[in-house]
Amino acid sequence: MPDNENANSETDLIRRAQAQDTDAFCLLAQRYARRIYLLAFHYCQSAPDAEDLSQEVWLKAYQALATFRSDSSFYTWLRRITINSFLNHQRTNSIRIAEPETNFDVGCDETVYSNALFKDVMEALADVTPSQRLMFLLRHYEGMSYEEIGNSMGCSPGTAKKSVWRALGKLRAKFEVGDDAAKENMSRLAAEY
Amino acid sequence: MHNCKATTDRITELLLNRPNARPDDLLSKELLRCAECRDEFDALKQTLRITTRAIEKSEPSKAYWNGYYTRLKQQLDNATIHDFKSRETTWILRFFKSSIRLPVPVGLALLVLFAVGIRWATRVSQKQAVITQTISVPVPFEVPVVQEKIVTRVLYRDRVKKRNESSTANSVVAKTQNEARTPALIGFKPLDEVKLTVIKGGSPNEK
Repeated sequence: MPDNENANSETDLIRRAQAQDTDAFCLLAQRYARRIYLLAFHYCQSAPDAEDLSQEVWLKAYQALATFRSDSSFYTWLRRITINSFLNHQRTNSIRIAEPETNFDVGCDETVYSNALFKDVMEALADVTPSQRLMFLLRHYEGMSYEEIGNSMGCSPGTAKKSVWRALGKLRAKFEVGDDAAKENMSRLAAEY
Repeated sequence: MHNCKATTDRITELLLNRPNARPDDLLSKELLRCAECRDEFDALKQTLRITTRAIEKSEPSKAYWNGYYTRLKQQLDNATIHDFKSRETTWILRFFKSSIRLPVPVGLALLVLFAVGIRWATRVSQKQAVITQTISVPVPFEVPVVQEKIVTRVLYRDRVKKRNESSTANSVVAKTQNEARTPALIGFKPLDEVKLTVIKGGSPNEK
């Protein structure tokens, strides 16, 4: 179905969304909503706040879609809006940040131990500042270079690298295990993943 | 020569990009040479794999996403309606709130032009005020100037006749003279002040 593919291509969806077609914009959002949501969730460490923040990103993107000029990819443009929204929230403190929830209900059927590991990851990320956490997520989860992170966050690539390594150090310290049994268990889990 | 710090740096960047990445030949040789770097590689790999998994694991269920898109659609519709209404009702406000970006030199030039324009307008208005004041001054009217007018009248008297009539009484002569003088002044009206000089003299043929 080439016509259908063409109708649902990203360029076509963007063009339709620019003409105030909310259905087309929702189809566009479905492609990237998970990535934006996860970024928001690990940034603000709260599921309700992550939804609010990610929905706000989509609203801003919808309102600013007329300014999208295809100079970069849609996701790069969207990620820029996302980072700016996060930073604005950080400045205004409208979102509760760096207060990790004690009960992470992720709705999966993993083992208790893996849930504990997940909690450890969240706690380790909560130990660093929101900016450092965001830089780590952008580097590790989004695969951005330090130059790109520096440009987006308004800092030097060196600062971005230092922040990422700081967050990584916290994670390393969290998963530093003493006895060999625990170390072996962790290795097994890492291999499973 | 092996450098643990440089190797760790390379390991970290490699695993940050892809937690499941395999080291290239050069890095493999370095890891085989140094047990400490090898341990670092394993620990970092485990940490980042668990972290990646934890991030992915935090994704909500499919049911959540259905509700998420419904809520998003609702918000977009509300935003569109609100945007349409606000466009209709508050376009004047938005016009006054709108701003344009200008380079600093252009902005300064515009400010200077504005200041010069204000000064020029002030001067023009001052000049107009002066002209208006001049026009409002009452027109000076002519004030009558007191002029002195001197009227000279020469009266001639015939001496022969005077001798003949000398016999008559001097009073009659005087009376005749007065009578002759009086009609000559009839109809003469001095403007304000008139000085009348009467010069008595004889006949031009008199010797």
